[in-house]
Amino acid sequence: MINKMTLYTFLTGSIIILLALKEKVLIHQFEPWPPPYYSSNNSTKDSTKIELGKLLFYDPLLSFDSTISCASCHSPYNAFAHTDHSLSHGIKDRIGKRNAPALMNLAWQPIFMWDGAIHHLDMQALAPITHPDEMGNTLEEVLKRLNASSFYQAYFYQAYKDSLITSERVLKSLSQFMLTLVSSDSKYDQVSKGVAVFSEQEEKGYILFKQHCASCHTEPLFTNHSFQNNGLIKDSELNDLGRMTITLNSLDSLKFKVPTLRNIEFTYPYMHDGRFKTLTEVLNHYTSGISSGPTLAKQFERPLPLSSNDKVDIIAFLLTLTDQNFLFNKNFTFPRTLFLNLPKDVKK
Amino acid sequence: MIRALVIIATFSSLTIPAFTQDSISKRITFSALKELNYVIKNDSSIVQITALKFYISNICFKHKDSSIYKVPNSFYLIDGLKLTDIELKIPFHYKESIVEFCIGIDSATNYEGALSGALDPSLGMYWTWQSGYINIKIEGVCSSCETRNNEFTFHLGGFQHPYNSLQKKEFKYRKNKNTLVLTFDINQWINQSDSFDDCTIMSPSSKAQNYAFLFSTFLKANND
Repeated sequence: MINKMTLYTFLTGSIIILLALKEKVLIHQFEPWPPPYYSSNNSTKDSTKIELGKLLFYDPLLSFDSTISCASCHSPYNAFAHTDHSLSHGIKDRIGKRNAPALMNLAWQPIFMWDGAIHHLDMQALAPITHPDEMGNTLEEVLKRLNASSFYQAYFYQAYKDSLITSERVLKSLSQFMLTLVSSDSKYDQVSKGVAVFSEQEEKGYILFKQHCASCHTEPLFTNHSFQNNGLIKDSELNDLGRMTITLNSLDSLKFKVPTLRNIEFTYPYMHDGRFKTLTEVLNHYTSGISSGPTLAKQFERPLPLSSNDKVDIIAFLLTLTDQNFLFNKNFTFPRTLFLNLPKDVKK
Repeated sequence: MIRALVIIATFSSLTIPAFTQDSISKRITFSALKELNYVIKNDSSIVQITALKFYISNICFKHKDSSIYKVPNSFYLIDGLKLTDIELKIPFHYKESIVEFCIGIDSATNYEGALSGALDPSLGMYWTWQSGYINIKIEGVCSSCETRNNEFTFHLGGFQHPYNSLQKKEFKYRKNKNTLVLTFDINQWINQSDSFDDCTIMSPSSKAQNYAFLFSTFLKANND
């Protein structure tokens, strides 16, 4: 005996499917966001810590000669990536070996840096702060400068009810700010929520994307955070072995962390050493530029079978990952007012 | 009658121990290195120690009835060139027990993000370019090292498979004693046949593991 509820559901479901088929609209199953990965002892999120983290992020005081801040390579105008430079540079115009990755959705990221050297967001800042080609400083010197600044003493007091500035407080404040950089409001996200529709071209691109790219650039974060060799010829000058530098395992040779494709329109140049300036160059690499080797990802055993039209469609889809609300969010930009004033309830 | 009671009361107060019946104080003392200069016997190389630092963590006391008391938040950074006294209050039940601890910082703690106190990353025992604590740091000069200024630098860390260099040690307190005095027998360590095969170890690796293990075997209890 079929009960009324089952009958009702069956009829409604059929009507929806028939209507959809009539409109030739594909019903996509969108992946929900996984739970965040970031956790930390003694970390209570609040606006005073976020403010403090933002000040630190934008302050070149953290670098040896006070010329380079985090924002120097993680530009707020470019999804916190480093554009216009294939390799990021630091103090005294020193040039590094890699292109600074974009910063977004960090709470969902289990591992950091192109080679996965860092495994907790709190500790990430230590790497650029102390690298001689980046900020060239020491944590001890940073603490010394901050503790000597009445400006920072006031902001730390506001956030921690104590004007003693410790490593833990500096690093956690930076994390608090970085965790606010969430991008989840692109056209793709709106389509996934059912409040927008892909154009015909974007739709084609999405289907191709799911077929050829999503095994590593997995939705909805557009990365599965794994390390892969995607067939890039090793630069003989940079000699960057990627993940193997950290694990010492030859199976990890030439593997780099899969980056997110969100806001990819704004985060050129592409790959760990910024060797590709355009998305077309990237796709051309996947169709005709793959360099084989023992650690090459299985997905590239044959070049991707994409026609020129296919590539255009995929790029059209990738542009739907651009999130204006993230890119132009005033809460993320240079805190001019904060730098000009002491906090409201400053203890004199 | 009253006099008897007074005598008994006085006598009892003299024999009742200074601690309550609930807890007991146990001490672990790390002696300062008495000597900084050593000679490797088989090739007459001269070794001078200029820095020795290591972490002690996860201290626990094991009773012969198999119960274990874990000392909460037991993380200590020991400077081997100085005397360090660790005093712990533990439940009385563990008066006669074996103490066990790790040399280094365990994996779970390494995953916890920015920490403070002995675990503050600004103490020179945390790698900035690759996450992780330096479990044992030994620096100095060895005349047979072909490095700049004959320096040797052992920063022994690593908390992830397959290069976890954490070491475990256990010691028995002598009967009725609540103090344990430990020393690193540097002389024996440097006289191991391959103690200076490498003069620089600054990242997780099987070498770092071997050195950490070897070094831990020379942490000994004083017999006094």
